[in-house]
Amino acid sequence: MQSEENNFNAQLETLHKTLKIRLLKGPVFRENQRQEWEVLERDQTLLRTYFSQIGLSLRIDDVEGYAFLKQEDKEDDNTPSLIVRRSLTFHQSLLLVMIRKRLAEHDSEESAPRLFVHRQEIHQWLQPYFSDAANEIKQIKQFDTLIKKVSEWGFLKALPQHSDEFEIKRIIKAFVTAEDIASFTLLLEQRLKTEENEENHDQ
Amino acid sequence: MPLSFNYGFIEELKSHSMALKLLRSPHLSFIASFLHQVFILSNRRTIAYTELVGLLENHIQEIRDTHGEALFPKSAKSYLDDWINTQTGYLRKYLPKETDEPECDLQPDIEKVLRWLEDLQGRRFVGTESRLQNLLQLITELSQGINLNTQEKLTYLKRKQAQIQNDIEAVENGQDINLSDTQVKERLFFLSDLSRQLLGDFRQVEANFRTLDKQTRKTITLSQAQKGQVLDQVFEYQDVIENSDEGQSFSTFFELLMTPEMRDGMRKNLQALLKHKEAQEIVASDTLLRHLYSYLLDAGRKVNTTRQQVTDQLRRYVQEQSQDNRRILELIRDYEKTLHTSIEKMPITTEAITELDSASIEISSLFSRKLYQEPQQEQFSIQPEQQIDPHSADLSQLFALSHIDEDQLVQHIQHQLTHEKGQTNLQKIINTYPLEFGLDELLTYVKLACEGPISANIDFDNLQKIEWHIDGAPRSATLPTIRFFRETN
Repeated sequence: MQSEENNFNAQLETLHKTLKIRLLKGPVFRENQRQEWEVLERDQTLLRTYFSQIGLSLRIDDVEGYAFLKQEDKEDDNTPSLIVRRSLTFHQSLLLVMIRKRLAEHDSEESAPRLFVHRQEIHQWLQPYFSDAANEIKQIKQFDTLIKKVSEWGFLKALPQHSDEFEIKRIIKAFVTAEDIASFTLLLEQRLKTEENEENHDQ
Repeated sequence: MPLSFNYGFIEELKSHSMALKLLRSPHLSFIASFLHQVFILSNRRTIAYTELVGLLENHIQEIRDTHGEALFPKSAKSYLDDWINTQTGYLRKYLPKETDEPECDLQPDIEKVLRWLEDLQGRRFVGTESRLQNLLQLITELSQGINLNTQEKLTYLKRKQAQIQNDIEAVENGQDINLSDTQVKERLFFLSDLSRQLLGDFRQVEANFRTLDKQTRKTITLSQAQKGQVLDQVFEYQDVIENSDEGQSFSTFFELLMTPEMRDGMRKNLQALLKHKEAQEIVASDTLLRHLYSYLLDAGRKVNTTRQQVTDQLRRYVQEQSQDNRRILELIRDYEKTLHTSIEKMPITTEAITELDSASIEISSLFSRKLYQEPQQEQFSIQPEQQIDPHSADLSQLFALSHIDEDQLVQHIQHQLTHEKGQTNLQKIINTYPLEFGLDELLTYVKLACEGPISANIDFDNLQKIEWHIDGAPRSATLPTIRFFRETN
């Protein structure tokens, strides 16, 4: 009896350890780790306390079935950040917004739980924002590099048997938020203004 | 929806309806033969995309073999994509909940075309009597169902009682009140038509749920409601699917289908039909009738899953996301507008211009890396290091995956049938031909009885005990009585 209990405790400890490491390495999805997900939901207070010691907060979306760590807002203290911020190029942020747009449109249209798009469709989203390239092959290569990058970040996932079809992972909702999009717009407007000022100076 | 047959309407329908497009297509025979074979004949509700490509390859090859090598030169995949890719194609392709392999399903309109092609071939006689009876019964049921007058209800029930009393007396007096052969046949055809229609309607029901979902989402998106009003809408929309006529009717249907009485009753009655001489012929040749219950169950389950999914997602959307979603879309529109002006006015940089949170922590410790090591050369040689006598290895298990020869068993049954003038049972066969391989072999007999080339009857009410010996040890199994009989034609 005693040993059974010990055994159980040992198992739980391993699960907790796994969960903590998994979360530090990236988002955890219910669909991939069902057993761990249950523990995550049940023991979330414990996990939150653990992570808050190193300035991280645990975000769980139990409806969509994903969990990830976020840097807690720092109040003027000088503790270093654990979570790296990714720098985005103009085109990368563009593709992210386009993916977010497709997901929002999908949600306002129908209830199919999973959304997948063809590589060509993604190309079409990007096309209008690229100058008419004489070298079409080069441009497509450029698009595919973008797609690959965003897939590495986990917002697109190529279907295993079909390399030209991508599932849009719903977790993008948590990373490309309304505020982010608004700040992208603001950034563009500011750049536009500086550009115009410089032009005026030149004249 | 009111039907319309005026010129303008039909003209419009002609250009929009997928069903009519398929009928006009020069590839009609190609497409219809394929879709009918894979979806309708086998009653499959959905097929994985990759599998469908394989099935189409076979189909194309079969057509080429008989009708000419030059036919249908494109690849199966590109034909299939043609049928899916158009905005409203013949097939719907979607990603199911559990796997990463896309699946395809027939669009309801295309199913209607296939069913219509079945009907068009009008194979059998048109029974009018059973339909009239059915009409009468429906009318009576209706008038009783909406009549609240107790007196009239009682009169009706008394009349029914008298009728039953009459029948009882007739049977007691030895009169035959069974249906005539023609009547049986007519009812069976009616039954078969009705089942076909019902099964054919499931895809439509599913599609209707989806349409309802789309309409509701559109209404929510378009309405410029304030927060307070949204709350009213929550109650108005969240159960829109459950409360629709279709939703309610389907719920009742599905509950009824899942009751054990329904399942057992339907199976038993269909089994009983197999004993009737006239009925047996029709039921045996009609796969749909024989598997009616499981077909209904498959179809019902699929619709039920969709209904559940749509209901849940819609409820969630109404409650939580619709507000947020609309704001996101507005913001994205602003972003795109600014983007267009800025692209015209300034060069695009390839440098990083902004940042976004990642979700992982990068810890790189210098010492987590190994020091440089000389890469080792792998040596391969075809000379075995250890000599093993190839003859000493016992590979027999490897080749003995299935040691049961179905043909042999079929022959056993046939011999026994000849021996016993066309009718026998499993016990007798095993008495004559004792089981050599035990349970596997017994199960193969059962398999033959279920789907095999020899007509069989499985009687669930009477069990039989079958005994055999394995290496001298007695074994026994109790299973429903299985009788084989030779078809008399």
